[in-house]
Amino acid sequence: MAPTFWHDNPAWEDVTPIPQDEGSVHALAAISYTAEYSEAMSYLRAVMSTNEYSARTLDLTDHIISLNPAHYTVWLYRAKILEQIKADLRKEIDWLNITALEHLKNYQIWHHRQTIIDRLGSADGEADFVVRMLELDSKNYHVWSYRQWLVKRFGMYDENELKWTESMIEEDVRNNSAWNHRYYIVVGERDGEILSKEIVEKEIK
Amino acid sequence: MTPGLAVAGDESRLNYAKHINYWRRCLKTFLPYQYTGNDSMRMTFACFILSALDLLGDLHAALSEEERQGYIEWAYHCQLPEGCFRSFPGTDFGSSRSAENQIWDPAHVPGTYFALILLALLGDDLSRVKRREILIWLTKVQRPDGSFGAAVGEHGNVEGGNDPRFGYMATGIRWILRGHVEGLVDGVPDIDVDKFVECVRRSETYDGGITETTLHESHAGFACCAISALYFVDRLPLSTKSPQTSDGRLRGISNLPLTLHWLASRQTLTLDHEDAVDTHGDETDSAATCHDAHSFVKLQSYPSIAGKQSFMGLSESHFEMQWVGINGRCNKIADTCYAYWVSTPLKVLGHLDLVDTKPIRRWLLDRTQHMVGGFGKLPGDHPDIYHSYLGLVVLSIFGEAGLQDVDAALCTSNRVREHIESLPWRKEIVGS
Repeated sequence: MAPTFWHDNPAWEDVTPIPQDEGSVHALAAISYTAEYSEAMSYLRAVMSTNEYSARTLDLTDHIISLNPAHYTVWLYRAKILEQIKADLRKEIDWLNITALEHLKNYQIWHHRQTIIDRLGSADGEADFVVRMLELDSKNYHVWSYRQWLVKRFGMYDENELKWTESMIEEDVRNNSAWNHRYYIVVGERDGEILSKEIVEKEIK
Repeated sequence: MTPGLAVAGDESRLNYAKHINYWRRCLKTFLPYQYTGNDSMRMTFACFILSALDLLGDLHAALSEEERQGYIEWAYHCQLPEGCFRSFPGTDFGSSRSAENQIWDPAHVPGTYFALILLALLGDDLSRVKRREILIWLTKVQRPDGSFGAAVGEHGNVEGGNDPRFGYMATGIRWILRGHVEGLVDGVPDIDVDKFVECVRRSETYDGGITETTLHESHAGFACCAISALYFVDRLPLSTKSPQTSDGRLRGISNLPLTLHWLASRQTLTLDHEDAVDTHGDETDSAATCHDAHSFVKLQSYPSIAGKQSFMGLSESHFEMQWVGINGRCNKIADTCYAYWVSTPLKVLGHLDLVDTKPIRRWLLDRTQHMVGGFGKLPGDHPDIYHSYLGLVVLSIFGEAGLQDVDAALCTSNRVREHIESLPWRKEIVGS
């Protein structure tokens, strides 16, 4: 894919990029950035410094995320932009669905998803999405964390969730994450209450 | 083979010269562009690079006086005007930085922890560090439930994960700046240690491990961070070996034998993908997709003949358990870094004797040590900074000849620890 540059984009003419300052001739862990990343970061610094929340800065955050999804404040900045420009959060989930496929093991992307779903107030389609992610990596810690959050947030401690967990265990009896999720469903809702004898016996069976 | 003779592999050697080359290269040249995804971890990597050379006894030789001073300036440049450190120069707005935009360039827990260790490695006395500001800020990065995050965001919200990694670094920062002294010191408030310990206790799982948050799957990385954190705040469980009377303070790890059992159970013979066939072929981890806490450096896009040759001709046999690996969760593949995440809590809890370090050492040196130096995550992987450093630290914990002694919890040499402990301003706080 051809690199994206902002300096020759007329829509960005008014922005003066802020170059990176190492603060010393002797830098540590210096990375051989591509020209594309260096430039994008210089523009990001510029618009972050003026707290610009707009469609064009949303695009810039998308670009930065594609190059460095672990840049932690860019996600917070993106979340703020979405809120300020009153963006369609369903579209954000669509975007996240595509982006997630490339960045399965990134904490920020799951935290961002949680923020958006929390704002949307609906878990529609989320359980299925999690299933698709687990097909790619059945033990992904972040994905299981996210599922736990969904269950707690939307009160999904029910038969459906238990059945789904059972199917994951049947698929691979050695999947410790699936077993742990079962424990979470059975024990979690009760908030520390001692399990009834029936539940214990059922689990042992 | 003569009966009674050492099994093949006891000739396993740490290739010092290659490791020194590897780390000198990391120090003196640019890291390849594949590290862009780790840009926000530069402070951590900077610390690992210097510390690795320190462990190999090469730090002094590797730096000119000008470089040493220059690196100290680089680190201090990441200190924010309001105190505390950013974790990489990338968020610095320079003269445009203001009260309105500083949430995008915040004080960062990992950045601050590794900056302090890095400065100590370079022999700095931390006198330019805004210590009071850091300690006050630590109380703001602690959530009501006792956990710590990475930074403070809008409206005072604590951002970043809530797992033990941040507790580890926050308590590490506290230990560096005020030792074990609790409560108000010179007008500076303390974090809520009891609440933190309660949080750790709530993260203990039914199988003795420790999780990210209550009821999640137990994970060695979190177990290590939590136990090291308890060590930093002096709230480790009372020892089973030498009984001590309780002083009434709340301590972590409510079931020490169970936790020790869980840690020791992280030993595994699932060392590479062929072994994983046994576990239903379910292992999808590779250096490119491993857990967030790791580097996701995609160095595999640089295939090398030397790399492949490095692993040809090695015996695949597990006969007599010549090689034992360490994983991070039940039924997962062995990974170099988990040798650190498991050996450290065992060491800190005083029970490293529960594992036989010889086959673990052999696994690291024969299977994940790379021909060009450093360690990969899995056999055949290219070395990356993260695994290369932690592999070295583990060997030092095991007493490898020729490596400096380490403080396992601090994840750096004892020399650095002693340097911190010798600082006059610190002695005034903790008493000599």
